Amino acid sequence: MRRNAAVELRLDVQLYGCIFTAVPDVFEAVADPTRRRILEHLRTSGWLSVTELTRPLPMTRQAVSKHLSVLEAAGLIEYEWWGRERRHRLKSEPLREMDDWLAPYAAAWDRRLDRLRRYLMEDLNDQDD
Amino acid sequence: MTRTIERRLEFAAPPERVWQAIADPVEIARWFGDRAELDLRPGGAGRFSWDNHGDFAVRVEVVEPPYRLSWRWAQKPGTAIEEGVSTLVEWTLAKRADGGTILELRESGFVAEEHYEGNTTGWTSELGELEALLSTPPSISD
Repeated sequence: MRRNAAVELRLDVQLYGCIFTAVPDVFEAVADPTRRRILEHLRTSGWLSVTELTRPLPMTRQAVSKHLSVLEAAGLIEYEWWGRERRHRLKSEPLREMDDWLAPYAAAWDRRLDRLRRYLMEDLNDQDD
Repeated sequence: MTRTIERRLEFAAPPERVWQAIADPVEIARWFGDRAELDLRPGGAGRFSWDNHGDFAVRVEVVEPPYRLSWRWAQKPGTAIEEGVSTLVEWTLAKRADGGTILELRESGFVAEEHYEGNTTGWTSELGELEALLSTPPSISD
């Protein structure tokens, strides 16, 4: 009961493997608005049980549990057994992958804004143009 | 959780001038890309083009000269706004005490549920199948 987390996780991974070519990555995991709400809830509240996570959501515990399995498979949450209750916590490290992915887009903006700045400066120096 | 890009710049030029530079397609093409077309009204279509990267579809969302402008653009060249990933670019201009401009840029929506394609095609529909498959999850109920 206590240490079957790994077994469950492996099972989830195998199940996803049947449908997807890989374990759901962090992008897929956060692509769903409910899962984003769950992550946000965990980010602000620390360790939470399925019951606590379900309370603000318009869905069943079973549905929330399924979302939790996706988040877990993506490495975004971890859980521990507190007595008979499973409590979950956010693991934010995989989100860094998203920042890395976003970096080139941000860099492109830095280049464009730099050109905009120079463009407007030239413009001020030479009002005719 | 959705990631955004935020930038803030200041210019000696007044907001009206900066507005011109970010809203007039002729001016946009001078700093943003190689070519630009923009029908400057809410819902108006546009296209930003780069010789090296292709044509990106644009749809204007908010036009409030000279303080707010926003448009949505496709993340992949050659795709319509409606059919793929698009992100929202919001420009906010404010007048400085000395008449200059504070320009803020925000691009958001890089991760949105309806915006998945490529290796994640069909995630939403497949999630339904997944739910069915996992309808009796092993010891996951507590």
